[in-house]
Amino acid sequence: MANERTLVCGVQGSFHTSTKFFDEAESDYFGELEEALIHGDPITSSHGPKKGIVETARPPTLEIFPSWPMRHQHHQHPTVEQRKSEQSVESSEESGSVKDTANTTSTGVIAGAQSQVQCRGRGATEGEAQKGLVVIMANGAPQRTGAQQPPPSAPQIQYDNSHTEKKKIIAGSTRKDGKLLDAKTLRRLAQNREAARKSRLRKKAYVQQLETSRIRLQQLEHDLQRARTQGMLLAGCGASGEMSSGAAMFNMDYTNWLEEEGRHVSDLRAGLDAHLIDNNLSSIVDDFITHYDTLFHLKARLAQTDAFHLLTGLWTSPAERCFMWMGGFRPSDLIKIVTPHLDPLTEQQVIRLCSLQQSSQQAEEALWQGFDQLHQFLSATLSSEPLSTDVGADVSNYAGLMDIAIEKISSLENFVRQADHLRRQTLHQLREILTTRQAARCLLAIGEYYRRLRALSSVWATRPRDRALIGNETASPNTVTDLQTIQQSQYAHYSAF
Amino acid sequence: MRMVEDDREGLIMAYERITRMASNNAVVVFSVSTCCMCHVVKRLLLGLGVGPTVYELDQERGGREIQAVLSQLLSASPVMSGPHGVVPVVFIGGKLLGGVDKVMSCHINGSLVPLLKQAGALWL
Repeated sequence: MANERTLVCGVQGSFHTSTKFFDEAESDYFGELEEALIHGDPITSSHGPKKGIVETARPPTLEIFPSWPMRHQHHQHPTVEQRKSEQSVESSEESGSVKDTANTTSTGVIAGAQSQVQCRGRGATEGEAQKGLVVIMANGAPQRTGAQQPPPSAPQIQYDNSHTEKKKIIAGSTRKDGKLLDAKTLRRLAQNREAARKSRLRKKAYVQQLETSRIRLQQLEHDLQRARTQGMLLAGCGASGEMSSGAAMFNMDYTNWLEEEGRHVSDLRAGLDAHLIDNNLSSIVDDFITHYDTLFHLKARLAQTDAFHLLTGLWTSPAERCFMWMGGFRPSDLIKIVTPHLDPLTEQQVIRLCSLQQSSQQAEEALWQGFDQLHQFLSATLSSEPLSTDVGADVSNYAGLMDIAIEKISSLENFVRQADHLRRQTLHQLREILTTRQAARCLLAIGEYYRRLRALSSVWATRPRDRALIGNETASPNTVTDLQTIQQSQYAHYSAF
Repeated sequence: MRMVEDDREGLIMAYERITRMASNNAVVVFSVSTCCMCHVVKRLLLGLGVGPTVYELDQERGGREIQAVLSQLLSASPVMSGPHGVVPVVFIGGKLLGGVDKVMSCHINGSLVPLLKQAGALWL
């Protein structure tokens, strides 16, 4: 009897490592268990309360691996239920094996190892993995989601101390609420957590992006307001009213182009400062020149529909517009501007540059003469009918007049394109003549020159109109100071522009 | 049928005429009197000291055929055709140079003047 008792204890968990197991209440319970073992009676749930006793009174060392903490208080009754049903099935075997296992202490493998509780879950990494085999037993079904279900028809209990059986027991882990989980669930939960974390990070990044965009928008609106008050935008529309849609789009494209130009300028500056080897610097230079080509291409496209817009320069700042030549810069002027910044130049380069400047001047002159001829033809046509009479009254004549005039100015597009062609050729030829570093400095000089011209436009627009307010005796310095402060405030406005 | 043949003959004749005209003079410009771009080319050449031989196709007989042949000759290189057709077209030393685009490019890259000198249109 004593033997049996011990063995029952062993069966109960075979986890015992100490000999002190039960108090009286427990022993009562185990008495019943014994009976069940012997008689094969399924123990009904009327033993529930006793289970509770058992649970609470369970010795703390009811575990096969003493180092692992036990957290299985409320897993007991399924355990017991399970055991009971198992035992009812296997009582005969057990009774037989009980004797055999009497001598085993830490291993209490139920003979036949028919019952194996497969507890799938995370490994013993967290230290709560084992849960003792009590826990394993409670986790009868392979896919436990923490619910305490009765084990499947043939649950298997396996006391894992042997290496051969090790792989069959994967200790489960419990969540905070103590539910048992298997590996699949745990994986899923981990993935969920990961996904949630990523989602949070993404959200954070998005919010930050929104914030910066909001600030930028505020700044843009502020700048726009300032520009409006300075009359910059109003000046462009003038008497003609709205721009053509192609022109409006071109203006937008040009603004983008300027922004990109700013980037090219900084790249180039960085490249020069870093003393890049020529090959690397060359690619930056060539990119910049390609960027100019892009602008010429945009202009050529607009020339087909709205050559007037290009020639009148409504897409540039007032100062640029004022000194524009045929819809852009005058090539020979540009060469004059950049030459001082290209020192040191070889003699060969000096000769070539001079020759380039001369050729540009000749080409410009020829183009201008052609343009002038066009103007003469137009004048002649528009004034062909007597100007004193209202030609408009005579519709057919008027229409005829307009037709001829239209024909005359139809080559306007060609003039703009030839002018841009000239500009483009000049830039490319400069690239040919100069070394890489010289070309870099040349492009920077051009960029800076036009940036200053644009800045001048805004400074001019906001200059103090009433000099009397400044005070006569200190007029000059104050004006200069005022201009400087205005310039500085406008500087930021135009630096991106 | 006959008209097409006539056209073909006309074109062949025009081509021969062009060849003849071009080789007779160092610099030949095919132009239209009212074309402003032609004026550009003429002024450029004159400014360089060249005395080009100019054929105003609106005043020449068979001018249309000549224009047609010139279009064919220039079809290889992309030439921006103006309102007056493909003119101006420039021949230097009997060889086709191109339209105003080509003339400008050659002048900027410095190859026009040597060509002119080579053809004997410029001295010094």
